[in-house]
Amino acid sequence: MIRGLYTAAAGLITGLRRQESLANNLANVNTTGYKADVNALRSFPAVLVTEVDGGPLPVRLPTAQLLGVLGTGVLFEERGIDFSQGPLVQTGRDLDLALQGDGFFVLQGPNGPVYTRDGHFLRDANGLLVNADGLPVLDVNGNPVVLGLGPVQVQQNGLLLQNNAAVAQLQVVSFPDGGLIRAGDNTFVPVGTLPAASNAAVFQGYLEQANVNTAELMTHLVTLARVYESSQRLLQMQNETLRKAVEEVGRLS
Amino acid sequence: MSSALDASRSGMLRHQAFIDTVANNLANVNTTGYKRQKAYFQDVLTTEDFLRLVAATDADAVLATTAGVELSGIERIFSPGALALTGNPLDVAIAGEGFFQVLLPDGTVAYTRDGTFTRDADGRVVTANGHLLLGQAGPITLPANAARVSVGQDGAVVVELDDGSPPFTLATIQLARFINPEGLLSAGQNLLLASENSGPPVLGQPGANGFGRTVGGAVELSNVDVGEELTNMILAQRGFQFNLRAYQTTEEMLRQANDMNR
Repeated sequence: MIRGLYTAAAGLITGLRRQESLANNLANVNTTGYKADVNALRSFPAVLVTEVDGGPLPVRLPTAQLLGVLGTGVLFEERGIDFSQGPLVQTGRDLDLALQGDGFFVLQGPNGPVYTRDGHFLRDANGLLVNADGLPVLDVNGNPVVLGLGPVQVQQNGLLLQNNAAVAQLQVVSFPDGGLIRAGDNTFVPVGTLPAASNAAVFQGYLEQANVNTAELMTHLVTLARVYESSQRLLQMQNETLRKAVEEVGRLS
Repeated sequence: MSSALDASRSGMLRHQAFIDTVANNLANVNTTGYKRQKAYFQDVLTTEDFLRLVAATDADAVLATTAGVELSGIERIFSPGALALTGNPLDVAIAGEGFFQVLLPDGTVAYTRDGTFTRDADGRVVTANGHLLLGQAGPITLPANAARVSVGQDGAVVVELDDGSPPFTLATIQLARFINPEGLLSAGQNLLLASENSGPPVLGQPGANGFGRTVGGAVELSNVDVGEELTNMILAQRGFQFNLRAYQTTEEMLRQANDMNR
């Protein structure tokens, strides 16, 4: 039917999807190590429009006039992740660790390693260094880190000391090629990419805050609501045009 | 239906919990031995992320029914509080790691940093709520004719009788440490209980092997920093507002979608 109807509808669908992303980012403004969702939008393939009934009937196609290019709306393509550095905030707790630079802590998940920027760690009842969900933190050799009683010192290179003796070297890796997807609970898993060495510095007594820019998000929120409204109006106008075509054009009396 | 409403709803709920912990900390700013609490957040997989994860890793994750944020925990921060001199000889503060052990009426042992002890009618050293303080040899009972009592840095309770005899060590206060103090359970009245997560208590003498020293005539103030809590309150309140705004905007968008055919 009218192409514009679908273009406007695509705008509405995309608007709601972007809103989901925004809402998710805003829900996580105070989540440690949270990395913001970013939206990639793409236009649907544009089509070349021709005037189909331009010539006399038997030879219609060869004489068809080219009218130009018509866009067919917008497509919400990808929910990507913005891995830029979040601000570090001092907590003073000796097992709160933050990464400055490109890198991730490695945790032992139920199905292989998972990666996180959330360095809020604890000791479990057996002295294992774990995250808030109890997943063990791994050292450079891929083994869980075990700590004894008492304070821990962590150096910027990820070396853990107790009573001035080295206990473990934390594993910190980076993914230069990207390819990470969310795995929930502040963790990520790689898809088709391998970890590489990282030169991120470990800061003890700090946590990395979410890299969500609230001021920017609030403006997006307002813009998005208005764009959504415009798409909705557009759809209504097309609907009105169709109504006129049905009810008024071709009326006999 | 849109998961945007779910996400904003979860954001409001968790920020409410954040505000609750701040309020609780501020209410206890003058509670001796109180350790402040902090809320930690985690992101939640959206259905979309979940499907990607399953496709990519064959992980048997639990299907996320919602989006947004959840609490990973509300934990106590065991940083030291400032020590304040009171002059009361039975007030004892711990400078460093460790907890006093107190005996509850049902026989279980609870742990506390609140060292405002008194003498009960039977001469026993008790907490403000009447629970017995445990020394190396069980509850500590002061003689009726004790003229002066003092507590040394090694936990020794030294008593001087009113008959002029030289002072002697009546008992020694024993402290407990935990591998994971964040795993201790709150039991009210400034008391904490051991749990599976905290691990078993490790007992020891004050001032030795990493245990804190006992300081007589002083109490440990709460470790609540009012400035930090007020900052947290702003963070929590604004976080709530951001989510409320997102909720309202989504609601408005959905209303427009519903009104389309008018």
